[in-house]
Amino acid sequence: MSNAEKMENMENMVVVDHLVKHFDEVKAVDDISFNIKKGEIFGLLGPNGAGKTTAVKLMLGLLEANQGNITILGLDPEKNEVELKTRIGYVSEEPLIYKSLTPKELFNFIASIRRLDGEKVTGKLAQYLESLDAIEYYERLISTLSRGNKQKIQIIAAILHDPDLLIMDEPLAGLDAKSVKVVKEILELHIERGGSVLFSTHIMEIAEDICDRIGIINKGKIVAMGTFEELRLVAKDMDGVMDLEDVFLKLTDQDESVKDIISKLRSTMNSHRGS
Amino acid sequence: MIQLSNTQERSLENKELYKISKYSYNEAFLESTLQMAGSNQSQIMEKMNKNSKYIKNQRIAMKVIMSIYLGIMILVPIQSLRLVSLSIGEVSLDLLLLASSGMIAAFFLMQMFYLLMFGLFTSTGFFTPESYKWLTTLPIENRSVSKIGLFTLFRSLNAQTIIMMLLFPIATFIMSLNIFITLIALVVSIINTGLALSILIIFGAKFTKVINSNVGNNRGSTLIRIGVIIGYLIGTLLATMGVQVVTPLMESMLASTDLSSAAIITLNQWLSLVPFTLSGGYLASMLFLGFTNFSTIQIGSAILGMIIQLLVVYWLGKKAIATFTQAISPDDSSKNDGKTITSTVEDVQISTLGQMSAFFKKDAQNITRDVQSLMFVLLPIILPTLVFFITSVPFLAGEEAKDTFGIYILTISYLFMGAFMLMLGIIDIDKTGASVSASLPIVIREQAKAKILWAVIILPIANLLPTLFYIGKPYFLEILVTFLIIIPMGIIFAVFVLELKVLFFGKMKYKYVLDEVKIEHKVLKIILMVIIGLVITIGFLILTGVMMSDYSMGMTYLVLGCTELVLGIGVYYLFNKMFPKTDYKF
Repeated sequence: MSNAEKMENMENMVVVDHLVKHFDEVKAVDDISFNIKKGEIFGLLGPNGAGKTTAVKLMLGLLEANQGNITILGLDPEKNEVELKTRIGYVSEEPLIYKSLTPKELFNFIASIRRLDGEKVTGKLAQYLESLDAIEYYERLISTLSRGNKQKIQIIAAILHDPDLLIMDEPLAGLDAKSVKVVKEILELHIERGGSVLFSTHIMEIAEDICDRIGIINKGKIVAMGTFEELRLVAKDMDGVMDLEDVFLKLTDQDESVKDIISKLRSTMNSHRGS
Repeated sequence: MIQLSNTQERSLENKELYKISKYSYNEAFLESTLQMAGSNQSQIMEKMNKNSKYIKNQRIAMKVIMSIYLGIMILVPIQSLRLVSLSIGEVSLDLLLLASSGMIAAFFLMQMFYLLMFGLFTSTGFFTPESYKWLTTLPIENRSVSKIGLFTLFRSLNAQTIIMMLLFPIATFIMSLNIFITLIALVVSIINTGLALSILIIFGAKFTKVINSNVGNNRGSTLIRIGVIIGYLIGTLLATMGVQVVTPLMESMLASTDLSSAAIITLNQWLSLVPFTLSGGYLASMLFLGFTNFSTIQIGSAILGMIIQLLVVYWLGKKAIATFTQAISPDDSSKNDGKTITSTVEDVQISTLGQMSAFFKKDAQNITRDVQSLMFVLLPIILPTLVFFITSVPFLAGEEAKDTFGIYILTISYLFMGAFMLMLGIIDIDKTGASVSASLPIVIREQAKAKILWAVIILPIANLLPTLFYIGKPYFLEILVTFLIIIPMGIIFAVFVLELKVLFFGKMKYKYVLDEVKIEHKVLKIILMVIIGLVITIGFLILTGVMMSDYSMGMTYLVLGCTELVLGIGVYYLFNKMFPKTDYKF
C-alpha cells in the first residue's frame, strides 16, 4: 500500500472492499465496495430485501463474509470485535432490546458492558431522555412501550458512549416528527464532533434529507453511488426520469412494475366510481 | 370525527359470529404462542416466514397432544369400574361405593388438573384484548365482539371439551353395557366439564392479567408474578401426581379397612353431598352397583349434591363469561391497576458493574418477568423436589422407598436433566436483546461465566432440597453426603452443555459466541446434544451403580470425586480454549 493510499484510508472510517455474502444459493451481498469518510453520513439506499441489513451485519461482525474485506476505524470487525465495538454505535431496524427490562435497567447494563463512568454518563443520559420525550418511560418495561419509544431507547443506547461511527438501519422508523428533528440534530452534532454515520434506509426522501452521499443497493449489488448532485446528473441522462425517486426506481428495477401497479389501480378505482 | 350510523353497525347472527371467530382464533393462538415463546419470539416469526402453515400446524399439534393426554385417561374410569366389578361380593357394597366414588371423583379432578396444566399456558392469548382489537375497528357491536371472544375460546378448547365430556360415559358403557347408566354418566360428565371449563376461564383470565402486568413494574408485582407461576407449577404437578395415587390407595382400602359398616354408611352420606366431584361419582357408582341396593337417604344426598353442583356450575359459568368479557374488553380500566410509573430527571442514575455481574443481573431481571425463562430456572428445582416428596411420603408412595440406590439413580437423572434444561434456557435469554448485544463490546468469556453462575446457584438447591424429606431417617446422612458429592458433576455437566451448544451453534471463524449463528441442521444438532447428554448421564449412572454395588461408600465417594476432578479439568480446559481471557483494556 502506498503512502497516498494509507493517508486516504486514514480518512476513511469504513472501507468495504468487494464484499460477498451468500446464504446457500442466494447472494445477499454481491461484490459491493464503498467507503465512508470522517465526518460523513453515507446512505445505503435500497428496496426491502436488497441486502442492506446483511451488509450492516457483516460490518458488525455478526456474519462472516464469503469473500472481500471490511475495515472499520482501521480494524477488522471479525478479528477485533471487542475493540471495535467500544467505538461504534448500532441502531437496528427491528428494536430487539431486552423487552423484559426497563430502560433504566437496560442503560445500567449497557454502561456496565461498555465500562462507562456512571456519574459522567448520568447527566448525558438524562439529557437524551428529556430531548426525546422518553424520560417518563424510564422505569417501565420496554415490552409495554410503543415501537417509536422503543426506537428512541435504542437510539440513546447507541450514542451514549459517543461512538466514532454510528451504524443505523432505518433509525427513524416509528418516530414522531419532533423526535425525527431531534435525532437529525443529534446526528449533526455527531458529525461536528468528527464522527461518521452509515445510514441504511429504503426511503429516498429521508436519505436525501440526511445523507451526504448514497450508495443504491439492489439485489445485493451497488448499482449507483455518489452525491445527490451526481445522481441528479444521472437522472438527466435517463429517458422518462424526472427526479431522484425515478432514478431510484429505475436503478432498482422497480419503475416498470410501479407504472403497471399505478395503471391497474387507477383503472380499478375509476371503474368502481363509474358503477 | 367519523361516526358510524346505526345501519352500519350491524347486528350479526351467531352463525356469522362463529365464522368470524376463526380469524380471531388464529390471532389469539399466535399471541399465545408468542407470549409463551418468551425470548424466542423472533425464532417463531422466522419459522412463520419460512412456513406459512407453521401456526396452523402448531394449532393442530396442540389439539392432538391435549386430546391424546386427555384421551389416555379413559383407562382410569375403566380400571376403577373393573376393580369395582371384580370386588362385588368380596367386600360390602357400602365400602365398594366409597372406593368407587373416590376413584371416579379422582378421575374428574385429574381431568380438571390436566386441562389446567396444559390449557392455561397455551391459552393466555385468548384472555387479552390484543387478539380482538382489530374487530373493534369493524362495524360490529361490542356485544358481538364479546360473543366472538367466547366462540374463539370454544374453538381453542372444542376437541378437548368433547373428549372430556365423552370419556366417562364411554368408560361406563364399556363396563356396564347399559344405556341408562351411560346417559346419567354423560350428564354427570357434562356438568363436571362445565365446571372445569369455568375454572379454567376464571383462572386463565386472572393468570394472564398477572403475567401481563408489565406496567406496574415494581418488586411487589414481580414477586406476585413469580409466586403465581410457582404456585401454578407446584399446584398442578402436585395435584396431578397426588390424584394419580388415589386408585392404588382405594385398592388397598378395599383389601383391608378398619372402618365399621355404620361408619362407612355415614361417611358415604356426607361425602355424596360434596358437589365437585364426589356427588357425581356417587350417583354414577350407585347406578353401576344397582340403585336398589342403597338407601333413599344415600340416593337423596347424592342427588342433592348434584343439584348443588348444577347451581355452582351455573353461577361459575356466569362468572366465567363475565370475567372473560371483561378480560378481552379493550377499555378494561382494571388492567393497569393504576400503578403506571412516570419517571423524572431526578430518577435517572447510572450505576455500573463488571461484565459478568451485569449479565447475571440482567438475566435475573429477565427471568423474573418472562414466564418461559422462569420455568427453565424453576423446573430443575420443582421437579426433583416433587418427585422426592411423593416417593418419600408413605401415604402417597403406597410404600416408602427405602432403597437408597434407587434414590441416587433418581437424583442423578434429575440433576443432569435439570442442568441440561437450565443451561439451554439461560443461554436463550439474550435473544430478545439481539439489537443491543450486537453492538456491545461483550467479552464472551464473561457472558459465559454469568450463565454458569446460574448452574452454580440453582443445581445445588435443586439437589439438596429433596434431602429435607429424609431428615430424621436413619440413612439421612448417607443421602446428604452422596447428594453433596454429585453436585459438582451436575455443574460440570452444565458447563459441558454450554460448550456443546456453542460448539454446535456459535462457532465463528475467529471466535465462539453464545448466540445461534449456525442455525443449519438445527433439529439434528439438538437431537445430537440430547444423545450426548443421555450417554454421559447413563455413563455416570453405570459408574455410580457399579461402585455402590461392589465397593464401600467411602470408595464410591473417592472414585466419584476423582472422576469429577478429571472431567472438571477437561471442561475447564475446553472453556479456556473456547473463551480465552482477553487482554483488551477498555
